[in-house]
Amino acid sequence: MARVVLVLALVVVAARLVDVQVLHAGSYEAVAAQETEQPVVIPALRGSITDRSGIVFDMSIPTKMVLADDFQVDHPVAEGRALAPLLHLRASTLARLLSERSGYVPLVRNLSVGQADKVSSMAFPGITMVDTSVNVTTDGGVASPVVGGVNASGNGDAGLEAQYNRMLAGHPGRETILESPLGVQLPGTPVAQKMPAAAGTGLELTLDEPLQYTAEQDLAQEIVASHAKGGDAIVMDTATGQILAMVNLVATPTKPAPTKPAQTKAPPPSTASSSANGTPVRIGPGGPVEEAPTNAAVTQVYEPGSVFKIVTFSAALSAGVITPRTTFVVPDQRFLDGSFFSDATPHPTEQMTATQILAQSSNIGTSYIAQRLGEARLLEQVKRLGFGKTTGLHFPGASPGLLVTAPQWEPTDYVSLPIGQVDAVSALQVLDAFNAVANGGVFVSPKLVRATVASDGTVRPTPPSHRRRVISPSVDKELVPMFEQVVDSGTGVAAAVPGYLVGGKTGTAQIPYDNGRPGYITGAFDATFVGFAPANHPVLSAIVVLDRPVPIYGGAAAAPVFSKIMMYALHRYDVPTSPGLGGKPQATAPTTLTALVRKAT
Amino acid sequence: MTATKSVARQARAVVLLREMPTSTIIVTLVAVLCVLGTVMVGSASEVVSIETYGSAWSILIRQCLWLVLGTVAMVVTSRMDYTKLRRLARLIALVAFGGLVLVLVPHLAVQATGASRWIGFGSFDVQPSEIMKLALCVFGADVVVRREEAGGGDRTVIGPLLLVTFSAAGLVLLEPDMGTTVVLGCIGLSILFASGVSFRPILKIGGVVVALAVLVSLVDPYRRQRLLSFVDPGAHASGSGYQVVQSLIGLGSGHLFGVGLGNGTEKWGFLPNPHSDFIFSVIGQELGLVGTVSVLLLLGSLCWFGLRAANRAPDRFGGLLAVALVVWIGVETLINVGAVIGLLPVTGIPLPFISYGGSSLVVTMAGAGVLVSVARRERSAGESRIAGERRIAGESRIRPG
Repeated sequence: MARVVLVLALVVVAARLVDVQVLHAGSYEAVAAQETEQPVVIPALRGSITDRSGIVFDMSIPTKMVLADDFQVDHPVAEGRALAPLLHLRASTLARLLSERSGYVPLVRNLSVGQADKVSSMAFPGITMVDTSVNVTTDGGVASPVVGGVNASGNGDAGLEAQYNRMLAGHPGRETILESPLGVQLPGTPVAQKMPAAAGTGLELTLDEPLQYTAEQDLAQEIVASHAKGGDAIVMDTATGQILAMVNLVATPTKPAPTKPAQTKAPPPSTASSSANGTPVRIGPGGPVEEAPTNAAVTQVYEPGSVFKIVTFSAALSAGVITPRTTFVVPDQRFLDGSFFSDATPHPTEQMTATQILAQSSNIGTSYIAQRLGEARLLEQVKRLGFGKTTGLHFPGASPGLLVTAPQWEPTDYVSLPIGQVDAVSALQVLDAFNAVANGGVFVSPKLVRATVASDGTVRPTPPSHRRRVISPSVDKELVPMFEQVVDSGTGVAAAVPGYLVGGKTGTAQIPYDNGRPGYITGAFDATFVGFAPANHPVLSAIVVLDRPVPIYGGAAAAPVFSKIMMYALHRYDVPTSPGLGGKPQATAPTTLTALVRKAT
Repeated sequence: MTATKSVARQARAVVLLREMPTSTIIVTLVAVLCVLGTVMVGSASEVVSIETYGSAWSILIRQCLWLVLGTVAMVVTSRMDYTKLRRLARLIALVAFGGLVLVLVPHLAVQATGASRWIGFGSFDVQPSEIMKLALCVFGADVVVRREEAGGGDRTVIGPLLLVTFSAAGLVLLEPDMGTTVVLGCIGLSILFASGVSFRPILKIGGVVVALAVLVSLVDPYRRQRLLSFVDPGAHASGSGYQVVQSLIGLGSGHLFGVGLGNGTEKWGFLPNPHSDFIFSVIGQELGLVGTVSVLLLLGSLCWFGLRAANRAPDRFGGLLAVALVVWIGVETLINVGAVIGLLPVTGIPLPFISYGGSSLVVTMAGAGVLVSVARRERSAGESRIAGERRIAGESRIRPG
C-alpha cells in the first residue's frame, strides 16, 4: 500500500516535470530569456567634418567611460591610490567613489583609449569600461557657426552637424547581454545577435581652412577697430558656387566699460579701418571677438542697402530702358509721395550717366531709373536674382528673406526698394546675385559640402550645383564694367586689390527696430561690400558685412576687409593678374578656380 | 538469443538487489544524495553567498561543515542499537518540545521573513522543529509498542500518540511553519496507520485534522495568500505567485539536459532561496529533466528501500520506526518538490539531503542513520516473506508495506 502511494506520487511528480521541462519548455525558456536579455547599444563613431583638403574642423574620437561596481572593491583606498594617476582624479575622491555602496559608479567619462588600456591591464576587480566617444573641434572652433555642434547625447544640434546628423551619426550597433535583476552581467553571457556599429559618414566641405582662418582674422580686426557688434564674410568660387570661406563673428559683449554707442553720424573716416596690424586677434572666449552662435550670413536677414541696386540696374539694362551711358539730371534730394529722400552726401544737381549713378551710389538717380522700369519688372527681377527663396544650401534655419509684394507696393518704394531698405535678405543671397553677374549672368546655387567620406574611405563627390541664366550675356557684359567703376572711382575704392580689376558695390543701410516698432534705429547701420575679382575674368566673389561699425559706410568699413580677404585668396590660388595693371604678365588663359584651388591645397 | 540473455541478466540483477543488504543501499543512496546536494548548494548559493557574506563560497563551506556534522550523526545513529532509542524516547521528545517552546519566546529566537523558527548559537542556528521530527518518530513508535505490550486497546495507542503529534504540530504551527506541521502530522498518522489500529477513529480524526488545516490556512492572511497564489500563480506573478512562476521558468528553461552546472540564471536574484526551498528548480534549470528525475528516483528509491527495511525489521518497534522515518523523508520530498513544480503551496520545507539548511541536514542524516541501524538488523529476504505471511495470518498487526 505504501509502495503504491510512493510510486503514484513519483509518477504524478514526474509527469508534471515532463510537462514543464519538455512539453512547455519553449514558453518557459522564452520567459527566462525575456527576463535576462538586455539589449545594449554600441555607439557608432561620428563622421568627421573637414575642409576641402582634409583639415579637420570637427571629429569624434573613441573614448572609454570607466565604471566601478564598488561592491566588488575590497580596498577602496588602495585601489583609489593606484587608479588616481591613470584616471586623473584625486586618490581621496576615488576612494570615496569606490565606497559609495551603490554598485554603479561612473568614475570618468571620455578617458582616452590608451589610458583606458593601461587601466584595464591592471585588472582591478569591479572596474569595467564602456565604449563612448567625444566630439572635438580643432582649430579653436574655426568655422564653428557653419559646422555647428554636437550635444551631450551625440546629436548634431546646429549647423551642418544638425543638417547631416543622420549621415554623420552612423548606425549604432546592438548586442544582447544577459543581466540579473540587479543589473549584474551574467558570466558567460552569450553575445547573441551582435550587430557591430557602423561609423558615420564624414563631410568634406568646400571651405578652405587657411582662407577661412585669414578671413576670420581680417574681419575680426575690423570688428575690433570699428567697434562693430559683429560681421559676416563669405568667399565663393564663382564658377561652381562652392563656398571657400564663411565667417560669422560677434564682438564679445564688454560689461563694465561703457563704450560710446555708435551714434555719431559722420565720424572721421580715417582712424578705424587702418588699425590692422599683423598681430592676430584672439577669436573665442576671452578674446574681443567670438564665433557667432549661428550662421547669420545664411539664417539672418537684413536690409542690405545700396548693394540691392544690382536689381534695378540689371533689370533696367535687360529691359533696355537704360544703357550704361544714359544720362539723368540728378539732384541730391527729392520729395516723393510726401516723403523726403536724399543722397548720402550732398551734391549740386548734375548730369550723371547710369554708370556714374551706380558708382556714386546715388539714391535719387537710382529712383529715376526704377520709375522708368516700373514696379512689376522691378519686383520680378528681385525674384529672378534669387531673393525670396532659400539658396539651395538647405542649411538649418536658412531664411528665404522677406520681400515686399505687389499688393503692398507704395510709391515711395521706387526709392526705398532699389536702395535696399524694403526687402530683407541674407548676406548669402546678396553674394549669390553678384556671383551671377560675375559668372556671366548664370546663377549658381551655393554649396558647402564638396564630398562625403564614408568610414571605409570612399569619397563620393556631391552633385554639382544647380545653374540657371538670370542675366543675358550682353547685359552682363555691360553690367560688369559698371561695377568695376564702383571700385575704380566710386564709393568702393577701398576694395581695390593691387594687380587685379575688382568689381563690386557698397551698401550702407539703416537697421530697423527688431521689436516690431516701425522705423529705424538712430545711428545704427549695416555696412556691406560685395564684389568679385578679377573683373576681367571673375574667379572669386565675396561679401563682407559689418553690423554697426564706425565709420558706418560699406565703402569705409567693409570694403577694406573685402580687399584684404580677396588679396589673400587671389594670391593663395595663384590667380593671374588682370592685364595692364602692372602685375606679372598673364602667362596662360584665365583658368577656373577649381583648378587653381587644387594647385594650392 | 540476446533477448533471453538480457532478460536473464536483468533477473540476476533483481536477485542481486534483493540479496544486497538494505543498509548498504540506503547508505549509498544517502551518500549520493548528499554529494549531489552539496554540489548543487554550491552552484545555487554562489550569488546569494556573495550578496550576504561577500564570498561565493561562504554558504557552500557552511554546508560542508553541516555535512561533516551530519555524517558524524549518521555514523553514530547507524552504529548504535536502535532499540536503545526506546529508553531515550521520552528524553528526546522533552528536549524537542523544550526547543519548540523556546522558539516562541521573543528574545531568544531568530526571526526570518516573518517566522521565528530558529534558536541561535553563535553563527549557527538550530531549528527545534527539525529535532521534533526525529523525536516524534522515535517517541511515536515507542508509545505504540509500549502500549501494545501493556495490553491496552486501540484507544490507549491513539490517544497519547495524537496528543503528542498535535501538540508538536500545534507548536510548530505557531512559529508559523505550515510545511513542518504537515510533516509532523503525517509522521504521527503514519505510525498510527502502520500500527494497525482500527480505521474508523483514524478516519474521524483525519477528517477533523483536514478541516482544521483548511480553516487554519484560510484564517491567516499570510497563509491564505500563499495558498491562493498556488491555485493560480500567474495571476500573482509579481506578488506571492512570483516565486512559483520563477521556479517554473527555471525548470522549463532547463529543458531535457539543462543549461549546464553553474550556468543557471534563475539563481541570479530571480528565484528566492535558490539554495534552500527552490534548489530543485535550480537543479531543473542546470541539469534539466535528467537531473530532476534522477533526484526524484534517488529519493524515491531511498523511500522504497526504507520500506523494505521496515518490512524486514526484526521487531515491531524497528518496523514502525522505519515507516515513520520513510514517511518523514517522503512527505518532505513531496511537499518541497510539489511546491517547486507548482502543484502544492509554497511552505518553505527543505528538500531532504539536497537543500541548504544546517539542522535540517544533520537531523535528516541522523534519521537516515537510524533507518540504516534498523536495516542492518534486517532478516533475510526469505525470512521476512515468511514473517510477512505470518503477519497476514494475524500473528502480527504491523502493516508496513
